[in-house]
Amino acid sequence: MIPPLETDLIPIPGPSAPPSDSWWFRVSPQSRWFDGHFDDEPILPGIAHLALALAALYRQAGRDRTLTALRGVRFSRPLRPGDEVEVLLSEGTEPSSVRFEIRCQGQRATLGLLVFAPG
Amino acid sequence: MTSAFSDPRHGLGVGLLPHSGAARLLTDVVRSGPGFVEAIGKVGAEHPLASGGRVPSFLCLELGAQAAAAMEALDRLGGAGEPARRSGYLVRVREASFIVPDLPADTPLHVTARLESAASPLAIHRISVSVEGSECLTAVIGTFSGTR
Repeated sequence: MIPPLETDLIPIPGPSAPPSDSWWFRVSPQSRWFDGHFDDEPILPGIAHLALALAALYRQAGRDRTLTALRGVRFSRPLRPGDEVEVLLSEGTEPSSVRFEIRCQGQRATLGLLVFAPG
Repeated sequence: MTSAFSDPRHGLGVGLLPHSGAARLLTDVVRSGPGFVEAIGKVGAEHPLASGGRVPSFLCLELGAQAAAAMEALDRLGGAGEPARRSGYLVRVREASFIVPDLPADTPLHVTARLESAASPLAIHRISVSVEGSECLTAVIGTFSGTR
């Protein structure tokens, strides 16, 4: 289930012709994700990073997939209002899995493995 | 372990979370003890990930992180000389299993968090979330508590 996200995490073109496994988004400064997270220092919640990865996968595959598990997800850099991010997708190490990496300003923000129901 | 009806600190545990507004999913602490918390939360239909009155199950990772943060805050209330810390940063999901793909919005969610290990400011918690008696998520997560 991937709800519409375009008002919060806006798809944008990459800096060059992107490979099919690279997707770019801008985190809207007006995003509802920042409502109360946190009032004095807005950062994107970790689950929104997962939403970014799923949104990229949806744009790549053109269909929704059922997420059943996560493995080894690390949030290493906060994302802030207005940040532009690149989501990289590659084949995972488990059946029906996809490895994702989110990068911002040349730094890794998030890394992990998404596992989906077969099919 | 104490009950919510005998321990007024429980409301304080939720109140100490840095989350507010739509970001605060945790609503009540039911029971707590050293390294353990049982709590109630809810995801509103206005949440950015809500669609058609449903929310994806992975959203409950945030609820688990907030429960763990409330537990840390309650544990710190008993300590002396501990500096004020901001709890609740989700920094790792070692593993998570989603038994169902999505859940109803605006429905009470039951969450437990147990401390597995800690090396301050990092802590590892095992969390479980259920709705109407059915478990919908289990996970092992890492949280970070930063000094304010």
